[in-house]
Amino acid sequence: MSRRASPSRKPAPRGTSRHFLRGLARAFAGAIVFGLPLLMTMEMWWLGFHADRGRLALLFILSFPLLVGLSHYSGFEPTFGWVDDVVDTFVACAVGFVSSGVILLLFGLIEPGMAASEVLGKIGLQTLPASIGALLAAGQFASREEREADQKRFRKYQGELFLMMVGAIFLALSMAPTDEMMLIAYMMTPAHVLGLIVLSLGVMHAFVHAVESSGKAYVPAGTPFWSVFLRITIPGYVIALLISAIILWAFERTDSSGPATLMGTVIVLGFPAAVGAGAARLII
Amino acid sequence: MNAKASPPIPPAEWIVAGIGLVVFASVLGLMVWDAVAGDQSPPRITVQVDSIAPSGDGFLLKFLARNDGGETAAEVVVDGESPTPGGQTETASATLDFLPAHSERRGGFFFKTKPDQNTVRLRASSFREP
Repeated sequence: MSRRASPSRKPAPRGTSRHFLRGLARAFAGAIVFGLPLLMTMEMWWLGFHADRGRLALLFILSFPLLVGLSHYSGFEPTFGWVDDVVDTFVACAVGFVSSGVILLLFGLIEPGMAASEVLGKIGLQTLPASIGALLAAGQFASREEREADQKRFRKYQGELFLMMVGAIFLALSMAPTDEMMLIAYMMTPAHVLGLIVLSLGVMHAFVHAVESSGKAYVPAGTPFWSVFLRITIPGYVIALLISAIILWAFERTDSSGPATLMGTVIVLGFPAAVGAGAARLII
Repeated sequence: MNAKASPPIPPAEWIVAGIGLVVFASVLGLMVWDAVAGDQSPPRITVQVDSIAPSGDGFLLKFLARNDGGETAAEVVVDGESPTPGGQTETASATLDFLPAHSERRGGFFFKTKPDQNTVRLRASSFREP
């Protein structure tokens, strides 16, 4: 890398504690920016104590490889191997837990007289989006060089799909705890559902096309419509629906509903998930 | 690319990552433990008098509701009956949004005559599964 003219403005070299602390500050900023909408959602507080523990545990286990992958593709420090990725993931967990815990404490949502299960459930549930935020937004605040290195890695097909998944999780997670998802599904007729599927695919393809013409995408500009649609948009929508179904299941939103309502709810939540998946490249 | 070998992980990062590992393991551990060996019994709610004090032109009785069962109760209705010296009974009720397992929540009743700690009757009359 070329040397800068003003040595005093040079960032601390990689591998030093000072460089790490700068990354840590970024991670906290990211955890708060991304975590705040859910920290201020009352359904999330309630899920913290009444959600099925087995499902939450599974959600936690599933999120670990996701965070490691995110640390590999983005992350608040450029990583060099899987040890680095795992270490960074645990740092993100610590950041997510501490920032969520402090904010919930300041909101008066953690008080004496609450069982350990309730307190850890509340904070633990918020730790997931906050850790994603810590890893993601730290990438947002990264220097230009670091961002360019990240962009290169996303240009692979699996990188593209992984990024879509992260975007889908991110937006779906913010909406899934609310009662409105079920309410909207109750009010929709099959025609509405079909219309929403078409709209989801259309919006996603528009995003994919926008990214494609910016030259950052896996597919080069000028690839025929059907090729991009089949290779990126359709797999992206399937990922969005899967994520939507997993999150609804983990939050016990699907338990007492019949197959038609269930599918409706998955497609309703699939809409923000699809928007998140499509917009992922533009946000991240 | 001048970073051929990976730079060493600084000590501060190891420490924070260690905290993260403990946090992750303890939250996951508690959830798994709760799911496998945790208490799955229905809500068992007891209501106690916390304090009685004059308030406005009457009296405020603060109560403490505790759920010793393993499941969360929602919309818990707490009823209070206070016998008056005239031989009648004053009643009041309050609804707690949530009373999670092994946790406490507080509330209060307003009575016109001073309730007696020994004769006032407090109980939870209903709840809803969340």
